[in-house]
Amino acid sequence: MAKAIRVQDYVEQRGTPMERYNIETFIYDGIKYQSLITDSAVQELDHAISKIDEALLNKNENALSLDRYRQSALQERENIALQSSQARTLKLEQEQSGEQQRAGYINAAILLAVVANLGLLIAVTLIVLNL
Amino acid sequence: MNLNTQIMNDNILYLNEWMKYNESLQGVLQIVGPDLVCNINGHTEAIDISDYYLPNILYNPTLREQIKDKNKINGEDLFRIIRVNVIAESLKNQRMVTENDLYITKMEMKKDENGQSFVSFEDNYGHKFKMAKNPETVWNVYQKLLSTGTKVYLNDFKREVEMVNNG
Repeated sequence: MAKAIRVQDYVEQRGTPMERYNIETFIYDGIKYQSLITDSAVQELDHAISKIDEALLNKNENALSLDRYRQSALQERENIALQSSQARTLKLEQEQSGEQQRAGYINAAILLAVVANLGLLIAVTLIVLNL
Repeated sequence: MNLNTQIMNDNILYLNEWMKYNESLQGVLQIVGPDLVCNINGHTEAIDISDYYLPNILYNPTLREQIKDKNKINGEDLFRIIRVNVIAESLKNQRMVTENDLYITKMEMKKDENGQSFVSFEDNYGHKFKMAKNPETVWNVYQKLLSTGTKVYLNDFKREVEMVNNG
């Protein structure tokens, strides 16, 4: 028994329930994990998607069902990418905020040192003048 | 030792190795008979890997790098990735066998509503085709191949039509 049926057979309602389930998961997971599967698998995925598009021209109900899996997976992939991007931005902002804080402390320390030195200079000047 | 046993032995070795580096795979993935089984939140899924060499998934360099990192790939992710690769292999094998088995069962010359001629034909799987470019040429190619007394296989037919159109 084949593990999955081709898209052409799915749209014509052939195959066992497991074979039909496997082509559905192939479309969904193939798109979701496209960057992590082999080139050969990507080729088969592209071929399957082209067959979905062909069947969609005839407004085939089963093709519409597979297309919904495709759209859902694309959306999921986009959400994951967005979350990763937001996490990276947040991390960058936190790092920048930390650096700004450190820079603030350094500036305050320098100012304090300048004021202290100025105070010392004034004190010494007064002492010298009184002498 | 037959091929499937050899493949399964290697698959078990590789899976155990990946589990050593990535603890998120433990308790989620296991090999039971010919199947890779995945337990996700009490729900079980399985795929037959007895004719698929698991290390082939590592041809993807990103996966090769991330498979050891539990923060990048967990058990469910890996199961789904393996399943996609296994099904792709199965579909590819089907495609290779099927395309070579397709032959034309009937062909007709027709006219559309604008009076334009086209060729309509069907293969042994019931797939229907239409060719509107140079229909007379297409018809002649089919007749020529048919005259050899053998089945007109779709691959041969398409190749001949392409050669004549480009020639």
